[in-house]
Amino acid sequence: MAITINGSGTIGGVSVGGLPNGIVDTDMLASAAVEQAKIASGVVGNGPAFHVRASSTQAVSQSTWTKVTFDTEIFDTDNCYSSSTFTPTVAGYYYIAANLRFGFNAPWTGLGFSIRKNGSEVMPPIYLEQLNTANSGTSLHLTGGCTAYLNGSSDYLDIYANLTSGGGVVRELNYASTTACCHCYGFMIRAA
Amino acid sequence: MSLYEKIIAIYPELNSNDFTLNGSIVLQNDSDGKGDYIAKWEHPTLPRPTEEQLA
Repeated sequence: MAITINGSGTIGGVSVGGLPNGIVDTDMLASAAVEQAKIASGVVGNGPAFHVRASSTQAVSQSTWTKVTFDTEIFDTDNCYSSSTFTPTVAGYYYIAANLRFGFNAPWTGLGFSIRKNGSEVMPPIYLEQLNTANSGTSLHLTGGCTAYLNGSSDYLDIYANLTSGGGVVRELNYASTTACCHCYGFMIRAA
Repeated sequence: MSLYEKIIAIYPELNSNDFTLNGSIVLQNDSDGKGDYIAKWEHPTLPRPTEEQLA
């Protein structure tokens, strides 16, 4: 028997034993009405994701941990990436990674990079030491990534790099093309 | 002259090993236009250089 309710007011003493499967479909939900917390385990949501890259070569001072500048956005779904810093607006667990292209023209003693959360290393530096291998025009790529919990408001991630070599030589995060340069990318793994 | 070079000029006994990952001195640049700075100075014998020395 169909029940029709007209007007406004409060109905008490009514219990609902559950809705049949399929009764709530996408047509019945307002856009963006389902929150991250309501998504079942194993279902990919619409968390923030980004991919950025450098558009030019960045000089690095001798033996100085230098924040890597990524000034070109390939995509930034939720506008969470700014000033080479990722500050997501949704709390949860994130994966972030970078591929850095180091350039040098003389023997070097160490190079690497780390991922930092709120200024502290969340990915310990990936670091190569004492290889002493270099020729003019040489470059070397390092890739690394990690996971981190970010609170969706103040927590942020950024990338710092270091290149140690003899004095008076080129030390840089090298740009050669849109693909042969420094990249950084990240995305939400799951909600908090 | 970079901050590293200034420190080496003040303390010639230091070398790049003191500034490595596990070294006692960490220099940093936040790419915010403010330049290089000393983020950590835990050298066992040498005092942190003063601003006047680094000027």
